Amino acid sequence: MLRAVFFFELRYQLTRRSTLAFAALLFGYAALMVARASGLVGAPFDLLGDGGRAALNSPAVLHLLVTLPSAFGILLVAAVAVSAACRDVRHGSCALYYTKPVSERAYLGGRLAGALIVLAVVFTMPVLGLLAVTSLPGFPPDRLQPSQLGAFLMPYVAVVWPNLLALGTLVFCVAAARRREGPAYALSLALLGAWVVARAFGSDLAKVKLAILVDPFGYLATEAVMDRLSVAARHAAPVPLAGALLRNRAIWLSLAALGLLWLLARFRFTEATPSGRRRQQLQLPPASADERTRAAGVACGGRPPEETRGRRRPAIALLACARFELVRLLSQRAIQGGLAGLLVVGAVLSRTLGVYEGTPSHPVTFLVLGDLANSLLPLALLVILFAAGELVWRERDLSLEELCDASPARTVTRASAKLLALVGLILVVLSAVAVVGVAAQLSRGHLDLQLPLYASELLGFRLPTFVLLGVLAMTAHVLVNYKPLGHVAVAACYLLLSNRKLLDSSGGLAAYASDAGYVYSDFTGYEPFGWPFLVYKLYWFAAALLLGLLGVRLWPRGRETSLRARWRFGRREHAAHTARALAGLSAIAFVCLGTFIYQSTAVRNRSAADRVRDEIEYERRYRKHADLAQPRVSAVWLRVALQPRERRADIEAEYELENAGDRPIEALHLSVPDASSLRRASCSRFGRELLADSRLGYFVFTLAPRLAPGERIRARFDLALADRGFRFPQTAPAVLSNGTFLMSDQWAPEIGYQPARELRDPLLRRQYGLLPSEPLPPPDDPRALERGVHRDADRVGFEAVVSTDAPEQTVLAPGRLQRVWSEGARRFYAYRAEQPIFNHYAIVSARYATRREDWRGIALEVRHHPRHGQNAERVLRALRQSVAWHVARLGPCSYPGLRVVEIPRHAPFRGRSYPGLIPLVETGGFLAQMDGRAGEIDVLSSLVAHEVAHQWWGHAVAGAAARGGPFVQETLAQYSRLQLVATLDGEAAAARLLEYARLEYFRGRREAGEPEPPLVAVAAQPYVYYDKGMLVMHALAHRLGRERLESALASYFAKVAARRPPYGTSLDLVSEMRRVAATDEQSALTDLLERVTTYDVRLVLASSDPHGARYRVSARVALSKKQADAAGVEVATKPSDWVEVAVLGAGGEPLCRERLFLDRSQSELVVEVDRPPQRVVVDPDGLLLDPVVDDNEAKLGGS
Amino acid sequence: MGLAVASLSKTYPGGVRALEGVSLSLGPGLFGLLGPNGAGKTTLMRVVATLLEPDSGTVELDGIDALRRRTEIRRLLGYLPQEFGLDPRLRCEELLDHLAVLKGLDDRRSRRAEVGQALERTHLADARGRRLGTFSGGMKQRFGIAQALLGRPRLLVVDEPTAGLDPEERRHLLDVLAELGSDVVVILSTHIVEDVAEMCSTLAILHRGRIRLSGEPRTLMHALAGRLWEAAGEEPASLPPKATVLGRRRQAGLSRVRVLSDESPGEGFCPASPDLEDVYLAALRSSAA
Repeated sequence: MLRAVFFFELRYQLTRRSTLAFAALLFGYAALMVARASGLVGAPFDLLGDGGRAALNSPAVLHLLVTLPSAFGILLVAAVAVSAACRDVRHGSCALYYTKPVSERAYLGGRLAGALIVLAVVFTMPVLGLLAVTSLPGFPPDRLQPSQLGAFLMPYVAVVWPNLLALGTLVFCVAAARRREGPAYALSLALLGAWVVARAFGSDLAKVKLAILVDPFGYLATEAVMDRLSVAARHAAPVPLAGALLRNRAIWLSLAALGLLWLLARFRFTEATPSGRRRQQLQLPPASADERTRAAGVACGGRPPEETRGRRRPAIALLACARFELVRLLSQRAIQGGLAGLLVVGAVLSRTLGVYEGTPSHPVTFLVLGDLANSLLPLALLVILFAAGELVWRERDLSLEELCDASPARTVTRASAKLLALVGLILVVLSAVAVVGVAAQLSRGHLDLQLPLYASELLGFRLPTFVLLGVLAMTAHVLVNYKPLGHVAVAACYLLLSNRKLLDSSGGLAAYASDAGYVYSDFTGYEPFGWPFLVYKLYWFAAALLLGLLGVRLWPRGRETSLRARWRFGRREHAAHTARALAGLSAIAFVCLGTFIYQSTAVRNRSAADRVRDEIEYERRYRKHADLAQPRVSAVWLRVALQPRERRADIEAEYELENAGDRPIEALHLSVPDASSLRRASCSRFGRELLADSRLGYFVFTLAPRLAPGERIRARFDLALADRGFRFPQTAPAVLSNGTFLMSDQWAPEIGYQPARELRDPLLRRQYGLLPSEPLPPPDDPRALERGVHRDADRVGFEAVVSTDAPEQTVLAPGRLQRVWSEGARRFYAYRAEQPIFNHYAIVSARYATRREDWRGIALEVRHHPRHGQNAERVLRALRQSVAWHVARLGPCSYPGLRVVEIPRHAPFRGRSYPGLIPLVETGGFLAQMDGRAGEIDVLSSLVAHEVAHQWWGHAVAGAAARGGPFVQETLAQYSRLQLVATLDGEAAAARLLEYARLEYFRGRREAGEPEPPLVAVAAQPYVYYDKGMLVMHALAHRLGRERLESALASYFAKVAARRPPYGTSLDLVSEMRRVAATDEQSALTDLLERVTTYDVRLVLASSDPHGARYRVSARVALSKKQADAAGVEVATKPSDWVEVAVLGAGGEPLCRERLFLDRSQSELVVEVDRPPQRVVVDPDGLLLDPVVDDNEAKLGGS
Repeated sequence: MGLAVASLSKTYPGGVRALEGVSLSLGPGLFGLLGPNGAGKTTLMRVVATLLEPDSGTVELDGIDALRRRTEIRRLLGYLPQEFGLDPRLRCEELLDHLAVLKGLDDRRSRRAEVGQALERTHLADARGRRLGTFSGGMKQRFGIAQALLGRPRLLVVDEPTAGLDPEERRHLLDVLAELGSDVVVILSTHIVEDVAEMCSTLAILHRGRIRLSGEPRTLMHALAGRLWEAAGEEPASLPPKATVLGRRRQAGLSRVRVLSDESPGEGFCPASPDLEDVYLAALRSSAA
């Protein structure tokens, strides 16, 4: 019997239109992704972030394509499982089934099995899509590799099938047991919620393990497994079903098994429905028929109550209907469940809001709103899109459609009432989000709620988008006119709309409901994002009006179902003139606004695609000049006039240029980053203008007479930086009404061709026929010593006079402030660097509050937003300690003062270091809420420590423009940071910092597409030079001892600082370290610095016995060691390493520490301790680069 | 042999007492269950059709405990619910075939024959390929009968089958029921007296959860003989103490009032011959009193 039910179910589900549509969607998604990644359609894009190196049928790509739809696919899982479980009840035919001699087990089992198999079939579509595209004739053969069966199967075995089995079964159980759709859909929403929560917890060290188990789709668990694999291993073999992934799967499958047992125990073929109240409603139709009719009357906008009869008052009818619809909506269990789910997820998340590296922020409104927008709003949107379908289908779901359709209410009234009800629901949902936010703030004792900010964010920025999407969803349901298919169509629309590529390629003009993006900052509010946002939304509201008119015209009123019949039927319904006029007006508005947006984003400003073309063109035309001898900048004088209110700056820059070569120079080549800003370039020696490419910003002037070797001239450039309307995506201009941050690399003319302006994306380079980017030279290249990252200058003299017409603002620039004065309404600041600086500077201007102190003649200063002063004292302390630390070890500070300034969060980094000037963004820790727990990292102080270190490692001494350069600059700054965190916050905080670095390093390895270089040859791999760098320096500090390590750093510093120019390579640094290391420590240096080495160290066995008055502890330790070659292939290597083993007492205090030399895979250690031992830990200081540390310790339970 | 129902009681959560100690004993043939809306008919039918658990009491078919051995009963049962829906996407024969499989008709050939026969008997043979969404109300009801006939049931429970049907469809349906073999127990619940009058050899009247009257129609009508009176016009102002007004009947626009009384209720009344509707109304009036 089970077989019969099963096969019937299979046939039934496989021929459902929604199933087929979903299958088509999955097929299309995979086919499109692969077609685009291969460049078959449009510009190729980087699927894995590896520069397109992996074959498109490699295990990594297959894994991505197959598992990516899991979360979104829960909608299909729910649709199929719910239909299998309770469609008989919904159709009212359950009595026909329940009175047949079938056992409950066979009925449920057959239905469930059928549904699961259908789901499994549908989810094979991504693979079919991939196969279809890769077998097309024009598919590039170099993007394929020989097929592996395992690569196709494993993503299913490890991820997709368990997901379908576990989640499908759970949803089925709830639907079958409750015999209703609502709770089952609520469960699927809850599963998405669990994923959102898990993702939020995944970045918190303390909760990551729990998060991995909770994530129902296994995404986090997969990542945890992939952390252990090298790039090469990930590309060569599928993700194995092991470790965290296996545990996660086991948990969810056992949950599903429990669910099934529960269902079998309670499900009976009776008509008993769970709630008595509900049952009576169903049982007594005569009693409630009257009410139903009345309800239907109101619902369909029938005659309002007696007193208004006679006069038509459509507005009242509309509002009454809308109110009725909203109340019905809110009384639906699924919607209530969704809202409750939002509150629960919000409450759980509220503890992680604004947490960075385990340190919470003050729950300031904009941070809370930002976090909620990422986590809660997607769930909220799901509730709203679901409700849109319910609204369109409500009458038909209750079999009331004929009553309502025959009423005199106009379709436009009914449809508008439903839309209004949806807007009402959106308001309710947004209020729920606000409640979550406010509750989170209050529960953490934050009373400055900034309610207007809630209102402007939620009502001003979120509401319009939600309403637009709601209109789209309702229209889609009307057009499709089949509920499950309508939901699929809505999901498909949403997926399409959230596709970044579509958004970017059209400048937002083709992605319905999109906008140019916006960022809130406490400095500037929503400036300058509000106006473009409004224009975009108006443009889309015009489109929504058209959609809405179409929806009303095609509204399924009466029994007609085909589109054509509904179109004809609709004509008789509506006041044709009004509709036509409205449609015409909105079409005109749509076209006009669209033209305006296009003008602003693509004509007055360069669009993203234009910028790519410019980069290509720049390289094609001018690359030939790359090696031309050019003068170098030796001094810079600036006169900058800021007009913050107009978001404008006028700059006069004067360069002193010197011919540092040995041949005369005939022409000066000039690259200007923002070509349209250059007004004039002048010099007494300029002859003819040979070339003026004002689109690409490349100019050539002859020099008459030629510039002789050693000769110096001055050239002057006048620039105007103005805010030219809005862009897509909208970015903040450098000059803002408050919080100007003007970096030289955004505007300053550079001498000669600049390779830094070339197109980077390797896939695009290949597509446009450009050769691969030239790699950085190796560290042993002799030219490396002469070149820093700035091609046209080493150190320059620097003077700047900056004026502003906002006298309440303070202007800051590198160098010492010479003079401040006023002329009329303008205030002037003159800065001069007392010794040359690298040609890289910034100007900051904002209304600040200030704190200062003097440390041995160095003026320390912190300038912050007046509301962000909570941690100013800590910044000063960090400044003082960092400066003291570096002065003691490396030598005096080069600058008379060090200023930390807060800047708006629009900047693309958290902190930077200019000579004597350290800008940090407002979200970089100024708002951190420290409560003095042990192990808490003061993120702001640690950031300050890193940036202060750059005053030595970066300004006094710089990394050469060669591989390994970032090791000299960033890794050494990370070492300073680690040492200062230990000093300021204690060893426990330092240990936590290392733990985060370990997490980030292995995450970076996972996400990197290219093989990992060793530290000594690191180039653009932040996870290596920041995170691994910190771990390696920590290990070296333990191996060599801090004193020896720091003496090596000091001698390296002294050696490089004496050089002109002062560029250091990684090889010099390594040789300094080797100099201080003993013979038996040399191999550790090789492993850590020159090779890519990872370890897996485990405590296999640990036991303790009383031994007289003492305790004997024995521990067996296993160690495996892997080294990766240049292609990223990891090879097991014979270990010969020292591993530390610690025995800890009851209070966690060390009883004994032993070093164990391991030259084989396992080794045993026996020690005796005086007090009762509690735990044994291997590698307690984390000196080995081990992706998994939870197997490094064990509790001792007696013998 | 037959169906035996003993002391069935059922109270719904919320306090509605649907059945109170209902006992019935039926042999083969058509049995009519009469009662007004809300009398408990559907509850009784659902209990008999194994869909509802009573609070107390027993149901036995041919000695099989219908409350315990449900699967066995379901093999012998055909059930047409009062209200049911059909998945509009499915085709008539497709669903019927599936239900036949569920009924236990494993052999494909005999199942096909059985389905064909059921379609023939319910005059749906021409519509076998149509989607159920396109069926009229009468066709839907006939489909319900067709599925109930699958597997040659010993017990057929049909709940209000003629409600809302046109006279021809109603005729059709009653004919199908009448043609059933003489060894099948058929319970027909209805509030339409003519259905029972035309079809049933025995009947019971259920009101407010209790059986008020049961027996053969002829006997029951006979019991009223000589006690029924009729007069033209409105209800008389005064009646003898034991007299009950059964109601008015209209015939060709003339209103006549019928009264149950041992003696003549008064001037203008003449004796009338009782029919089943009188029996039904008399039972309701007496139980109301």
